[in-house]
Amino acid sequence: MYDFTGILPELALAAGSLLLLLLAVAPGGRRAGAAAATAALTLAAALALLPAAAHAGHGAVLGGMVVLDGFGTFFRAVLIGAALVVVLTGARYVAARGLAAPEFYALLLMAVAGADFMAVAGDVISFYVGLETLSLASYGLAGFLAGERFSMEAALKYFLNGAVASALLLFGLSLVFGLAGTTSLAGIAAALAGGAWGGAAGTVPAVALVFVLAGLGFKVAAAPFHLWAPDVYEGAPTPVTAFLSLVSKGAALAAIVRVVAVGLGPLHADWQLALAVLSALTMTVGNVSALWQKNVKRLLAYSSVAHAGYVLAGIAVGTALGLQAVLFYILAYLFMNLGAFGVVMALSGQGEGETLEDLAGLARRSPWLAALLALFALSLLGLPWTAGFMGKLLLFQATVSSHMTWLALFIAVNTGISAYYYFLLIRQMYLRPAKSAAPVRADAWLAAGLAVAAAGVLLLGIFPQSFLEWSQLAAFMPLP
Amino acid sequence: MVEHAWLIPLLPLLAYAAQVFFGRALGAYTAWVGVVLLAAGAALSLGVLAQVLGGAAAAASFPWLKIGDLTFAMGFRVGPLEAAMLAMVTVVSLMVEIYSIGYLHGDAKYNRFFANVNLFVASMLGVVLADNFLLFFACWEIMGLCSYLLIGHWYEDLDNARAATKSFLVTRLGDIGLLIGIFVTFWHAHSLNFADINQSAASWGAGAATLAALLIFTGAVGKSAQVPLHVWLPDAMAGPTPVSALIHAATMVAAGVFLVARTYPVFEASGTALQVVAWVGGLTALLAATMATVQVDIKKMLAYSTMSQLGYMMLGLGVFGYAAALFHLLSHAFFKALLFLGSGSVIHAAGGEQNMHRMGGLRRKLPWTTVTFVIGGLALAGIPPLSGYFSKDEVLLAAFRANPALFWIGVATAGLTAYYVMRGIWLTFFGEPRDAHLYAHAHESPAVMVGPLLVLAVPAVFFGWLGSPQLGHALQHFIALPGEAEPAADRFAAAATIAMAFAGLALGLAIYAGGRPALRRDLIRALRPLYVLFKQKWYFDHLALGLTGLGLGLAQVVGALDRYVVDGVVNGLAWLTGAVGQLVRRAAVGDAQAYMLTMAGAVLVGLAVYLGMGG
Repeated sequence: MYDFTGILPELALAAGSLLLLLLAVAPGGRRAGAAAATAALTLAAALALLPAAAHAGHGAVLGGMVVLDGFGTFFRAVLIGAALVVVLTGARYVAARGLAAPEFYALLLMAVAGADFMAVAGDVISFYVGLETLSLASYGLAGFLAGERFSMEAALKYFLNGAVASALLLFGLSLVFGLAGTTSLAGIAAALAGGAWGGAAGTVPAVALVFVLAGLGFKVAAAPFHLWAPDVYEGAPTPVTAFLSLVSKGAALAAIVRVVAVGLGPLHADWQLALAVLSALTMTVGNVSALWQKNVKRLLAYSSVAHAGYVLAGIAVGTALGLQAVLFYILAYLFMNLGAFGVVMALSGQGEGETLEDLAGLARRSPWLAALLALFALSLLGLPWTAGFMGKLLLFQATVSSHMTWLALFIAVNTGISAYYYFLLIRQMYLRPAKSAAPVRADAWLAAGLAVAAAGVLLLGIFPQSFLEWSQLAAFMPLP
Repeated sequence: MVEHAWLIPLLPLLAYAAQVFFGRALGAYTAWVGVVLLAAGAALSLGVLAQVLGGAAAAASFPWLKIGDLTFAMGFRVGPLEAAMLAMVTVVSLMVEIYSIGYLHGDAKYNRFFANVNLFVASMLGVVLADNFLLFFACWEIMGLCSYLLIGHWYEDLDNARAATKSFLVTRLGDIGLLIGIFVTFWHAHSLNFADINQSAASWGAGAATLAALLIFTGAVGKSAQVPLHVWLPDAMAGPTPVSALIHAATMVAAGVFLVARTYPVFEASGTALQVVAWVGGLTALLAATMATVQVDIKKMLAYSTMSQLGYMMLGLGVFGYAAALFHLLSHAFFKALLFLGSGSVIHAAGGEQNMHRMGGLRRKLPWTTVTFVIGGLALAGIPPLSGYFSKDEVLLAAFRANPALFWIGVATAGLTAYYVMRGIWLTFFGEPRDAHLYAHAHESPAVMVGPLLVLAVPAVFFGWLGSPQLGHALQHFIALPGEAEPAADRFAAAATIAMAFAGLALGLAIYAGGRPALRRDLIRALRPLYVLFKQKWYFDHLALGLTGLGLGLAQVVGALDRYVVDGVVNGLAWLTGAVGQLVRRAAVGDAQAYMLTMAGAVLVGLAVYLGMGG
């Protein structure tokens, strides 16, 4: 008999999801408020269960399917927390746009459970099941604006491309299984280190690596596997966009560490180069493409492509310092992106457009929202005293100390490029006349979410030490 | 109490937050929030000072950031110098805020003014307390931002906005040097903590210390308006007068001097840097004093005088007169704030007129202002036993012992100072009214403005006594560096200084008190070349303009490079991405397929690379 304490949060999420589906057929259960509250309470419960789950054991449990360690706990906290904030801040959007609330939140909870499994996976099987759970739910969520052409199109594009990416990933994984004879990530690493099929020098492991990276690259929207992201981010309901850019991307980054950096650890020299190239390409393509965007959601989509590129640089370094930088950066990215999408949610929640022109004069209409979006933009850019700056500083330190100075230069140049479009946002809000004088209002939950995001950005930027220690603890895991 | 000194900057910061968030609700009470909190800050500062006088000290820090094996700490430190600075800054800013209630009465941006002033005070106190360069620089920059915002307070007038921008840009020029200096310092000291930096400075080697000290000094030159980065200070007089009193006389401009004092061991480690500091200070003192003699605008005259006195402080630091220079910094803060507030009272009375030639005879209308202004003026002129006399005397004594040339420059400056003080006082308050209309409407300022003048007149008279030889240089002993030697007194130097001050006063009196414009015209004709040179401010603005032209030319070259090379690359890349996108779009029927095709292509490239490498 297995001890399931280690996955209590995920069990809670699954139960909450099923409860929501039951609620959908119960009398009066279709009210958006009730569904949102159920989802929020479920996520809060999952968060509350996390400490118990984290202390249920150390190392591989449940037949090796799940690994309990600081890294997994960190990501589970981040993923569930981000989903909770998305649910709270998006509640008014879901209600106002008339989305089918119970099903929406049921899918969302299911997706979070899948994402969690990717972060704690100790086995290729549990990783892949988590990935598909997350993916299938995400396809549905992207198309939730029923009757809106862009939303449907986004869902379909996402699904078709996602299916191809899954196929690539599965092919790569099956090659790995064939080489190692086991699906356990630790077992795979041991087999490769032992020289199975030529080990690190072999051709087949390299081929497998390319396919695995292609599949995971799709999930994190790394160039050139990112093309779906802007379309989907633009077409999907805004809370889903936020969800995809935070939870889905975060889980995929965790999975790259688990599967590639640890599972394929002996292929260090191969994947370091591949990830570094992917990183440089991703940040450059993301930033350069963002320069010409007119739609704020598309702009933020490309911006989040670029940020995935920065994080990949930290993974490519492959040292404990690099991993620490990755974790800190993901935390920083979470707050600033959550905040930026929150402001967009306030706009689109009351039926305003989502183009740059719609931001014009926001400083005069809603000085608070404008100031917050400016703060988030400056943090995304990486100005001192914000979370983004600290994150970039750590990535710099990690890349330079591992003699990958060229990658640090890429980050620096890309930061310069990105200044253009982040300042464009700020200029629109502060220096362009407003078309209407009507203030943009944020409901209490959205305001609370924005306050949390702003506090996070400033705390990480001004008092980074305690977060650094946390990320340092979480980064303690076997690395090649 | 001393261990809670870090609370002092938080009080004005709290006032700032209250004024920003609840400004509308507070209405007319908004100023009082700042006054009450600053009064608490002043009380706390005086308490801290009392404890430090009793031998207490405090320092605390926490590890702010650890990256790899590097640790950056954040914290504060209170010793004698900090305690004295805290008391001076809080008292002066409290007086200035009270005064502003009257001066800014009815201003459209009343709330905003007080909010910015409080943010400024908080950052100045942060500069004083910071125990590391990181916090120091952050506060230093916020201070610059506040200065910019306050100079441009009446930005509707384009000239004011331009003056604000000029001050911002010129001081930023110095700050770039400072920032590089901080990097150089870090490179050698492996720490940004002042205590570590000062301790290790002697072991860096003279070359490194010189480089670091000169770069740090660049920041001080910008902030403290020393030649050649002084051109912003006279223009900064466009701001409301209380701002000129607080920021551009008593506190922020003195922060440059404070910075040099803060990193003094670095300067000591490099003899060259100290020489540079001394000469830049001496030249600034003299040049600014000559320019002050021909100003017609009462505030501009005071601005040049501030520059000149800051020059004295730098001069003092440069000739090993550490304690003397800081003594002068503190005493100058009180009497110069008094003078500026007095000039504000005059301008207020004269309906905004700042030209001294249109005033005259105002002593009958503004008795309180006249008395306090004369006290401040005589203190500035160095007339015993007012406070300016003792501190200036100490600086000149240090110069006399170290470098006779600089001593004589200082003495000449003292004479010029007394002359322009007399000129200003006479033109403004004495003689017959020259503008009947202005005179008829002039009136003494309200109590809320006169009160601070009276309060500040007290230290203008007595503060210097604390450092007088009769009291055994008590103040200097208090703030001196450990092991700092006290220059031996010299009767000749003291006599020369006093004689020069009285001679300057007498000359001013002789030229202006007679009320003979013909004499002045003849004098100007006789001294035409000098008059023009001073009037044209030694052509520094032209030089700056020329340099700007050169800079603009350079900028154009860089701009062209940027446009054709950098942009070319960026645009080319973008074009390439777009073109590839278009190509793929055209090749496939729908987007989704194109995306898959791209993915497949990428996988093929990856495979080719790895198989190629493997084979």
